[in-house]
Amino acid sequence: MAIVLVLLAIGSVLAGYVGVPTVIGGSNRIEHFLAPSFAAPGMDAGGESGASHAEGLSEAPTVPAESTGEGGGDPNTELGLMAFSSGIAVAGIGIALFFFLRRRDVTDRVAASFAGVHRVLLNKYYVDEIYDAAIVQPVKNASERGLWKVVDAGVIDGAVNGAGKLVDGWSAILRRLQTGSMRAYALSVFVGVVLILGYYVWR
Amino acid sequence: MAVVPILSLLVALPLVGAVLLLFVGNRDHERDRFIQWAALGISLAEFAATLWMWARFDPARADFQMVERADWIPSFGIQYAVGVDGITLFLVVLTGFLTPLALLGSWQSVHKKVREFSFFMLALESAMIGVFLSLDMFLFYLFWDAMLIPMYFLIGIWGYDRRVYAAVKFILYTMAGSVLMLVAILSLAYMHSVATGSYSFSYEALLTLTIPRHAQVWFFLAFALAFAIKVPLFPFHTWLPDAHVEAPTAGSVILAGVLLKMGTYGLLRFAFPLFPDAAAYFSPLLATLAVIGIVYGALVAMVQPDMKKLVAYSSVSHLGFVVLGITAMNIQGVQGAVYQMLNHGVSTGALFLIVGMLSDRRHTRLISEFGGLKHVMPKFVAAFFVVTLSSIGLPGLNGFVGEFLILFGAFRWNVTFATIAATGVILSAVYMLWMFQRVNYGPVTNPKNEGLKDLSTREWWVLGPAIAVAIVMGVAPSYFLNPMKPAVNRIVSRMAEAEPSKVVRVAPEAGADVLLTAAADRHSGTTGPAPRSAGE
Repeated sequence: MAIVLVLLAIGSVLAGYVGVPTVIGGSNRIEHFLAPSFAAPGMDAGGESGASHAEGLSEAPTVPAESTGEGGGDPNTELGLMAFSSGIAVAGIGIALFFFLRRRDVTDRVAASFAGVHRVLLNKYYVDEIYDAAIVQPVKNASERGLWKVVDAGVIDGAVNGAGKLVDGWSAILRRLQTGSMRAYALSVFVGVVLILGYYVWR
Repeated sequence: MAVVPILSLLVALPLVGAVLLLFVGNRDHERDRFIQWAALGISLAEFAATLWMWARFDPARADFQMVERADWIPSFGIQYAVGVDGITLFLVVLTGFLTPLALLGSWQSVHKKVREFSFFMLALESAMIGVFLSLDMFLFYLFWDAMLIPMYFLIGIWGYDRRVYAAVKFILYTMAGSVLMLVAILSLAYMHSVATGSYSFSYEALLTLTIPRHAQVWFFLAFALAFAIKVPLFPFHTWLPDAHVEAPTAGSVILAGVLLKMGTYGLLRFAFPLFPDAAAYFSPLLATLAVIGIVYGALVAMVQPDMKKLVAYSSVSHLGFVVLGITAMNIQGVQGAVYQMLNHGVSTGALFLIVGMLSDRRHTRLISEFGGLKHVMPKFVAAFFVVTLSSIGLPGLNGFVGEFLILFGAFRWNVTFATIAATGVILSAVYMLWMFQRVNYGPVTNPKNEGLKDLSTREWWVLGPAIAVAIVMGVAPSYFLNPMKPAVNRIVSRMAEAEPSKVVRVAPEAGADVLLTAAADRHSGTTGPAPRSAGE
């Protein structure tokens, strides 16, 4: 795994040169890196017609205006911040050097005397556990028990299959009329004729 | 210019081949092999023909090309009319591409009635291509319903345990929707006769009709319901998981890859341009259902124990994106929607093939039955991984381009819809990667998985092309986006006419540019929510 760390270290050094502070003669080159994307919304992968291109340009001035004026600043503040952050980095390297290369035994003793802190750190502040309990499990349970089993299988699909069952149920009743018995059909025709005649006679 | 009637050839070739296959005797293993090879050959010839059509396609034109017309039932103005434009071009090519893969993918899983299976697959291909190419509404409806029949048999005969239930549900549900569309088509032809004195089912003739708004509302609802069921749009989606899970692999591939696109294609080709005012009025409603579908489909997909059902619900989510892009009705949205239709065909088609391969080996699709497959079948897992990433929409693969364009187009129309839809991108990573992790990583917990064979040569030929297309579409989208642009522009600018007030608002420019500007501008966030003055 060491090779991965080496690669990352090289990358982090290079990344630092993307935005060199103005006080030592650089400029924040990454700041406007994405500005062209916001300037012309029409210019995406598919290319665009002239009409919406023009519309994009009209929006252009508003977006970069917000992002300018951040960099630069007071040279003293800049130097101070540089010194401060470098100091913290050097201190961190020094502590790591002491604990892990010189005095391995001290680490265990420190861990024992600050057991609570050690456990929190060892478990990465329990971020994963908090996340799991607060977001992952609720979403999973709600999706499985609520959305899938109740809403989808119960309500929506229930309505769909219910429509089918409704037709099925009515047909089960109506099909009793189709007995296949000629006498019953003849009787119903006769009753119908009587009813229709009766309607016209007594109307 | 048409020396060879290429589009008619495309429609007829698979069906003729399918009928010829019926004359080959069966009940014999060698004959079955011959039929499989013959069906594959026919579908490959068809794919070559679709590529030929692409080569002859003029990407600069917005109207229909290679049009062929012949009177069919002149007294009712019914014509045989086929044509292709930038939107249908790639849908036809996709159909040609997926059918051989589906046939090859079911090489070993279909044992019974191989001849009939091949017949239905090829007949289905003819019907699907007919749906895309029809320029006559009557012909369209004919192919639209003809398409259901082979799929009904494919699910009902070669499906899994509950195949009959799923097949009946599939055909009844989709038929119920399309019958209303038939009524609407017939009344459109009638309106044409009232307006001009003669019946016509011609798409382009019907486009010229001036339909009163109150009538548009009913027409739109009839068409939209048929298409919404097919898409399927939430809450009309419950036939889909059943049909997908019970269908044989080839059926699922075609169902997800092509059939679902009929719904979104229909919305884009017919429901929106024919009834622009009503479409503008109902767009927010459709978009709401689409966005619900995106999130809901993803959440339900996440908790599915069955891989095939997971992929089925993920289709609900992905197709929600397509509908959202269409309702945004700007160039990015619609282009993204068409692109996403193709992507979904490739990625989800490949996912169903992958699940089919596992199912062939283990006769189960439950995620909990697997685990640690990367130790046993590393090549399979590598292919699986690329397809998974393509489905999620990783930049560099096809899904990203479509989702990006759709979200971009949707954002310019309505920030709320776009924002909620964007969570679907995250959720797609959740359900796909979680499934991938449980199936392929960790130790091999189930002893039945220890001896599984890695990809065979045949299976490489199934997955390889899909992966290659996913990569090409991810890195070189303009190959596909440029030819579809004029046709997309045509629809978008027609939709812009639906709101005269907006066209007047950007009046300073002149001519056709005004319409285009209005189209592009119509939904931009800067003007606030677009006034939906169209319907009452």
